[in-house]
Amino acid sequence: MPGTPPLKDRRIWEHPILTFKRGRRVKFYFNGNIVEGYEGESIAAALYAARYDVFSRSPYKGRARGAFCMIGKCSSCFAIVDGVPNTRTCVEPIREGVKVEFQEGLAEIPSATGGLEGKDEEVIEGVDVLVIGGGPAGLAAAIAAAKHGLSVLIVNEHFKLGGQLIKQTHKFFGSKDLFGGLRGFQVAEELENKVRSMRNVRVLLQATAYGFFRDGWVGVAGKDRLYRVKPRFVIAAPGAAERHLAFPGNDLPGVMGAGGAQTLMNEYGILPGDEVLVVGSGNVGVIVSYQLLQAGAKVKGIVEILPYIGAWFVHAAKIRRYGVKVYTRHTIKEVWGKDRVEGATIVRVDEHFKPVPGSETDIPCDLVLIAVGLTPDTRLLAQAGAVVTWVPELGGLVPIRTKYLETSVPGLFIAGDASGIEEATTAMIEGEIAGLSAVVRAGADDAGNAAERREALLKFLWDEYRASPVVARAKAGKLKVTVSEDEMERIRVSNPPPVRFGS
Amino acid sequence: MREEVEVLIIGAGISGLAIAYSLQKRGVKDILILDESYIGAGSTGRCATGIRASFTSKEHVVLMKHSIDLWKKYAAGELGRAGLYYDQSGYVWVATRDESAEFFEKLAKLHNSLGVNTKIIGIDELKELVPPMKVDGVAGAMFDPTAGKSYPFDTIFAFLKLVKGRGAEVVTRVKVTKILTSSGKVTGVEVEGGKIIKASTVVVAAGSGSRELLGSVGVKLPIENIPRHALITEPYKEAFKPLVIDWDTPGVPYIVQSKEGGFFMGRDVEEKPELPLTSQRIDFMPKAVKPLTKFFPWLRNIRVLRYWVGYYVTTPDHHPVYGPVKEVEGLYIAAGYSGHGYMMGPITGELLAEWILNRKPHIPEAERLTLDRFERGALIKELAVIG
Repeated sequence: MPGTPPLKDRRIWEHPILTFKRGRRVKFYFNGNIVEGYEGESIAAALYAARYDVFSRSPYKGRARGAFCMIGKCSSCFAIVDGVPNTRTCVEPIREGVKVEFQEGLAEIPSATGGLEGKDEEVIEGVDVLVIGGGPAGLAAAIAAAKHGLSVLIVNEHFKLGGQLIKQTHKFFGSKDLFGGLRGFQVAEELENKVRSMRNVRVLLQATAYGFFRDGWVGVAGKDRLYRVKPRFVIAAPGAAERHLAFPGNDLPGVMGAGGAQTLMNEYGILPGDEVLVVGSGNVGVIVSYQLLQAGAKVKGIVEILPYIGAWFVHAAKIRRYGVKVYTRHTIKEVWGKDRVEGATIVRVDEHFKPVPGSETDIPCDLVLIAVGLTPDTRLLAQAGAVVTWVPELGGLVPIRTKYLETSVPGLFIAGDASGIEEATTAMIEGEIAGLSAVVRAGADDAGNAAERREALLKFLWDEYRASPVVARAKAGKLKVTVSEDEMERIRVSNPPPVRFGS
Repeated sequence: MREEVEVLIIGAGISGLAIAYSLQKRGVKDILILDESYIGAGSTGRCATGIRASFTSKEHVVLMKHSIDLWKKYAAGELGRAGLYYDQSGYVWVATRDESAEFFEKLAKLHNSLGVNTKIIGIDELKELVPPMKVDGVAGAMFDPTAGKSYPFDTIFAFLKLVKGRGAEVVTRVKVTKILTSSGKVTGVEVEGGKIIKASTVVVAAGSGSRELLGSVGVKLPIENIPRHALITEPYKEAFKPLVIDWDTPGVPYIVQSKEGGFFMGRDVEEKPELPLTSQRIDFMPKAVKPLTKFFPWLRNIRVLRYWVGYYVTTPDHHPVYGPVKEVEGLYIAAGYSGHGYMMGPITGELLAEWILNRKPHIPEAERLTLDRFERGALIKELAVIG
């Protein structure tokens, strides 16, 4: 708005490569105090920008809680919003006048008495494909299915589509049809525009698929009403959650997932801290360090338990140019501070990864980022009855699937990080394969073309894209859980699926 | 796992564990408990935590009075130190129709005559007991101050710790496929894989699996496994203590706040017996919660954390089957509680221990609950089955 000075707080106004598009100014309340933010920000982001670190205290020990994952996968950012306690403020957009209150331990029963019952449950029958998750995998799946004439319903927990693409500011590798040369948030825009232009795709934002039920019903809880959905096929692409580490003080505000910091910094243009210690030197740890440096923060060091940096050479070279100290053979011992990180102690480890007493180093900082990987969010799939198995190469429990990405629940497909952690390009390829699988199984008019395209994608994915040695580990993991159709039938006999789709 | 044992108990729910505990108190040392799943995986772990004596049959009232005495005694003793508790916070029955309010008066008189001090309460007392309740439309209410609640996993892990500490062996994930007999006497069991475990006394406390087990020796146990549904919400500060029953809504919805703060809710919805436990239904949650919002409008803004299905292992007269099986010496049953097995756990333990060791329980009413009552046509009548 011309003439209105920008808000002076943790927001970033000068950045070497990014410009942040901000909406109009919005005023809301935190404990009765006026807070200003910009339309399009989440409550958690706007509070963080205004330097509120603590949103609640934990139920039993009264410990401070604030922003951690920033994408709705944890409960750290709970606060009372318009009288409703336990609201995940990171997936709740700011609105003019919304009243946010600090939550002191277990909340009193809600003062608000409106809510879901206000509107009748909407029954959605006859939709061809229900897509759970509007990130790269879900959007690619929706587009593939809708292109071939299937009707699609996308449910997305966040109030924005795009998933984690919106915080990816690096340029994608690869050819043009894999969005090579575009930055992640631009890819998200393209996918969203495509989906919004398709008349047979309906999108529900701030909507949670909460369970699978008898006779093939799927429950969806929207912002102001419940939906009862009976789809022919389901494609689940719910993504992943950040892993955490166990150390004293790991719950202190200012200890954050690396992805949480990226959301603040790259999506909302909010500097997550001034002096930062990063734990983990894999690609994410190193990339987030580089992005922090670009955004104007000081990176005090990167802690790595292994004797070498885990990131690819291209990424590691960037932080080397900045002279960031990498503490290899080190781990984090503890974090201290009162209601906000004031510093961390790191310690050297021996060849058995055991801390060496007396080798501690104190590092004053106000932000500790945990970049130790992701774990697939497969709780909903397990509830549906899909057989899951533990695969360390893929980050944890993942569903067993056929090469067409169908789980042991017939007609329930998976794609993206929930199928095993890789990255956005793979997620989009898997999404398209899953979408095409629904098309083939639905017997749509041009199912033949869809099948051909699907084979080409599979060939590319397995023989070219995953041929690179840098993704060998993930490929090995995916090979472990990909079974033949015959084997899947045997699995279904010994683990009868409680629900079935695809008929 | 031992190959020969004095007493073999099938089922590591509250019944099996309480029986082992009571046997040990009477000096039995050699006990093996087998469960086909995990500890408390059946109806114990799936129950909604309520405990009461306010029933409408003499058998239930007498047994539950004894059971509540034991709950209190156990909570005050070594089991209490191991985590078992009994929170005697009562049951509140709420009527919205005048006829029901009148029925409450009759029911209270019946309870009083059986020694349960259920009483009619006014609106003021109701508001005092359940402060966040909207009482518009309430025609009458009844309070049972003897009733209460207890968290099943705290209870069974307390029992488990003590019975294992005294030498009982508890083995999970072992399915008993057959009860073995020879010339009218029990000799042991066969487990999956064909292994045989010898035992001169076998107790079937296997909940929904009891019928199949007894069928393996030709004994017919007339039970149906009827799916019942329950849910729990995210936790809140304590809002009210008693369990509240919405008597005039069909299916009798109830709500009770757990120790951790979550609200348990349930309602009887019509179900076919024997549907699998993974058979959750999408209409259950609105069906259970919506009627309760007339009393508790704030429930609309509370999230459900979990919803699950458990079995009411139901007999034709809604009373348990206890004691020896006439046709097979050494074979005992403790099953078919029709929704009340958790609350009856402590007294179940005592009764079965007495039957096994003394051939007779100390409570005469229990003797009417043996399996042969179905042959004799001596069924027992129970009117107030809740949620």
